[in-house]
Amino acid sequence: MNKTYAALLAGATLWCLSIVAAPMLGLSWVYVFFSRICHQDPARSWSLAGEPLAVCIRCTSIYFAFTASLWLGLKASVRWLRLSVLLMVCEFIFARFVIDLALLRSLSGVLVGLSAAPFVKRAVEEIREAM
Amino acid sequence: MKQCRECGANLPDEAKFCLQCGTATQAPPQSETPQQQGPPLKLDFIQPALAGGMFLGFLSSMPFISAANCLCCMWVLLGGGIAATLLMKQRPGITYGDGAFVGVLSGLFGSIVGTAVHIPVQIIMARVYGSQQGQIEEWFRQFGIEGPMRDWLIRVASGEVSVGTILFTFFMNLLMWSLFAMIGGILTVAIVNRRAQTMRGQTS
Repeated sequence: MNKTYAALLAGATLWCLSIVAAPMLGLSWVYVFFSRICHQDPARSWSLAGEPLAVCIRCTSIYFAFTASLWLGLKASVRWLRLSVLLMVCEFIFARFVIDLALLRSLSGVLVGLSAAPFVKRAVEEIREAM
Repeated sequence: MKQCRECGANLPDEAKFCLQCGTATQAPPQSETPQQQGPPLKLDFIQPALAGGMFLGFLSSMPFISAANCLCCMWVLLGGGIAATLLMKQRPGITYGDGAFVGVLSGLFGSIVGTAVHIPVQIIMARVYGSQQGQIEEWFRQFGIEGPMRDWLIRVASGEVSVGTILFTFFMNLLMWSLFAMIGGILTVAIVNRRAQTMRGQTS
């Protein structure tokens, strides 16, 4: 494992840990940090120790799946990436007009996270090689 | 009489090849796409990054419109994607690293644009809210806007503007937008750029 991959892995893991640590340790600054990229609606977030996580279900699923994908070393697949992005768009439209389910939000987030991570890893490695 | 362009030997006018060295008397036709055979074109990252940065910075700083960033940083991802798409127009087959770099640059430009737009917007919003606070809250009640949405709207409307908040906004934007615009750039290259996929031969 090279240093770049290790740094990416450590950053992604820390990102996920902070999401979980916010409700457990009452870290209000973590909520402020994530408020710029997530609505943080408690009704659309999982809870831990009686408090909502720092991001919503969809974001939590994306970030944890992204980190899991890095740990597992999944291979990049354009087909899977296209399919997962398409599914997320469909799920978003479905949720607006038909039924909004936490399970579907989570599932679409997991697919995007799993399929996106190998491309980010490769890009980071390409930048390191170019430097 | 004409001369060979390689060895200088005298040749009959109708000769198509040199009788001494065999070189063709006429120069080979130029390739239709000479740039494909030469070294790859040098990419200009600035213009695509500026376009992407303007897009994401402006939309992410406008009240209400910026709420779309709550959907996985949508404007920021799209800004990075726009920058990567414009970069691909310069040369097909750019790498994921190129997409990441132009995404980071667009996030950087976007945070400058976003902070610059944020200041007057915030001043106007704070004045409007200050003068019509009661009416706005009544309006929220009428339309059933409650809970986190109401809190968020009030926070946006009544925010103060100081050196501290501007710096905080800028550095938070810089960090978040550079990161997410980078991801937007990478994913756009992965999804759109067919040549990049075949060049690597690893993706399916």
